[in-house]
Amino acid sequence: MILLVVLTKFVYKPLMKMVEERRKRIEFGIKAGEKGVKIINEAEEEKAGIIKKADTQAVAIISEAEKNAQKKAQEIATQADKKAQQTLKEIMLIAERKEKEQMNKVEEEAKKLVKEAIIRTVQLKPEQVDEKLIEEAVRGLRV
Amino acid sequence: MKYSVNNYVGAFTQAIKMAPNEATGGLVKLLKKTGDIKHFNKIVEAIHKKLVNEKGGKWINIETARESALKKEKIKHNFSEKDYIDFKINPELVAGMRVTVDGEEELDNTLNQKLKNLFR
Repeated sequence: MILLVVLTKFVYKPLMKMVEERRKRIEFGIKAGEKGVKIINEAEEEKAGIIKKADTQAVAIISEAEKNAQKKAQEIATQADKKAQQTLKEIMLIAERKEKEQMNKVEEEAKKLVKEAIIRTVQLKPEQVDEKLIEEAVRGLRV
Repeated sequence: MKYSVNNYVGAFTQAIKMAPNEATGGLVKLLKKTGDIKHFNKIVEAIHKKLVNEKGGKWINIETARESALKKEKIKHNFSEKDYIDFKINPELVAGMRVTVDGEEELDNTLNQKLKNLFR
């Protein structure tokens, strides 16, 4: 009986106390672990949400950028086309003007040649032409 | 020129009315003095024109391309005896005749003019 009392007081109670403390510590550990897992899960969910949101934003940004790029490319193409047409028009005008100048030059040259040919022909035997023109002039004076 | 042709013409026509015998000598002296003697022919022609005009005549310039073409007598018949007719040769006309009356072109029947009109 004494032994039982002694054992109860000095062995069983401290042992039970130790067991109880250990159980509490384990329980606390388990609870902390569960809480940690929950936090991790929440963090994972939040991370997934952020990534999803970022993905959506990135897609929108890329889409907008593509639209802008297409618009810009279209504008550049239109401007380039306009410029090309303008240049072509100017080239055609220059060509036309040069052709006209060339034609005028040829015409002037031809006139000069014909004029010279007539003068030379008249100068070979000028009397007849001279007489005719002077007669005409004298008749003109009488009038 | 120190003085204009018109100034000399005016002075001479005044002088010839006041002192007819001394006017010509006076003009020559004046031209020598002013240094305008080198323009003597031009001034004399202008005086001549003025005198012709004062007598009621016209100064006629007849230009032809060559001497042989001039039929002076035939042409003179078309003008008054008071008129002065100055015949000139101008090969640039090629053929025909150009008439100027008192410095204004009256008639141009030259081949040069006809060609100009033709190739205008």
